Amino acid sequence: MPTLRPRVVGFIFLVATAILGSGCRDDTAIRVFAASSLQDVLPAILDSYAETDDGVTFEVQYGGSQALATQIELGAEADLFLYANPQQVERLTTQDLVSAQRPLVTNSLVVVLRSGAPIETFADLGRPGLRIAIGAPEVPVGALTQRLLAALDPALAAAIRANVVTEDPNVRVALSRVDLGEADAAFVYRTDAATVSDLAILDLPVAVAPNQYVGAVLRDADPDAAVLLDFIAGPVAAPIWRSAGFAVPGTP
Amino acid sequence: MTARGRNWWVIPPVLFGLFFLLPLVGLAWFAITDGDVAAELGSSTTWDALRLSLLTATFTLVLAVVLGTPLAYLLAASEAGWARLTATLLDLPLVLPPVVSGIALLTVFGRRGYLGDPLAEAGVTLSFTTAAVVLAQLFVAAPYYVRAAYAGFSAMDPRFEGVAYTLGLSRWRTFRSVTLPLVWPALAGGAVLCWARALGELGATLLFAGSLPGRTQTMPLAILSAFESNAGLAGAVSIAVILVGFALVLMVLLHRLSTPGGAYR
Repeated sequence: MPTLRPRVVGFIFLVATAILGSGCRDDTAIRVFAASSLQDVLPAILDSYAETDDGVTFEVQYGGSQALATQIELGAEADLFLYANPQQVERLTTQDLVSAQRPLVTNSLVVVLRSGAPIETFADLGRPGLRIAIGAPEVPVGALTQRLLAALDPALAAAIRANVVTEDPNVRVALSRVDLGEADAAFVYRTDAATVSDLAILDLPVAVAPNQYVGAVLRDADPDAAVLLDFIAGPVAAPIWRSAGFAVPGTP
Repeated sequence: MTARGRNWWVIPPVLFGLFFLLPLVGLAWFAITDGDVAAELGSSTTWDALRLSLLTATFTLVLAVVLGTPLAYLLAASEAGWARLTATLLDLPLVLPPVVSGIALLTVFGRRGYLGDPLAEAGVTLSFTTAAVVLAQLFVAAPYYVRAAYAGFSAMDPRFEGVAYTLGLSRWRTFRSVTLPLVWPALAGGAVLCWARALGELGATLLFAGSLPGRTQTMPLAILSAFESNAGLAGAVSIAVILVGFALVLMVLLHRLSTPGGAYR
């Protein structure tokens, strides 16, 4: 089984990096809370910002948007909060914990295919006997998948639903199904698909509203946080976002 | 004075007991104040997950007892080096992080696993089925039973069986009337551990069996999904409290069954 081993190592590494999260406090650093889906792109953007502002340091904590919002509500100190799913964290604004916010980028849904899967077009996903992994309806990627299925031709949607073998609690787990060869196809974010090099990707036949990321400067934040947010939303960061698979509004 | 002095030793064990009790009380209190246990009890997803959990954990226990008892007996009876080595290897799944156990199962039984092609030719698909849930639980939980049974059989004085044979009892009769009563506490204790571990199994099940309501989504997986949802912590804790409640009732029943004459006199 020559193809599995590097993937196993990669998976263990992924789990290990997820566990080794926290760093130590630094009073002068800009404290950033960021959705875990930004883990592969944000370091490059912050490095790029550091080149413009010598001596700036960051303290970044990644986590589920929901969990991070709860921590901020419970008094965790942060300057900048970059999150997915605006509707989930609305309560921060209503509680007056946010001083300014702006939309950043979007992340769309794609279908990744196992190498050798008998799938050519999107309609092939309905062929009986295929194994498809999706996100659980409770998690953002699963909710987005449900919205897509609702927008499809009902017969095709029913055929695809009949092929679903797992509703995973995490988009990376759904991706690993295809990567490990257990499932033929998985509905994941384009950015997750971009982390695995040799997977075939199917685009969606209908348009569904993508997942929107928002940047918020929190109340009593370090004044540099607003400058950093402008940079993250600005033209220098745009190509970095795009190379990771995010769509930047106002650019192709 | 001296009597009170002598009783000071109970303070550390009482504190240690509270260390286990308080988080459970905290969980229940959090679920009552912040969560919605009633709503989760009314949800078909929760009931599907609970039914699947109880069914698979019990089936895992049956398999562990039926297959594990002869294995433990064999290993304990043998003086050979391979038997000790096997007994040690059986402890390994206890150390493995469950996610790694799930990957280990995939390397053998998965579609690209070593047995993937022969199984597919025989028309057997394991991953993403309820059978895979049981296999994942068996891999992770059965060692608890085999370990306990092995210790029980090893501690038994073999002369009792020898006497039974000289009295003309058959092998099976000897096992039932002499061996089994002697090792019963060890087997019962191991069985409770095995069942409980199977009920709580999460990582290996997710990797090897997936998470589909009604088919492979056990209670721990339902709790994980709820934790990642909008309902967040409160929803997850509500489901968790239901699982803990059912487990508590069944553990008490199992303990009563497993101690002849009843331990709660």
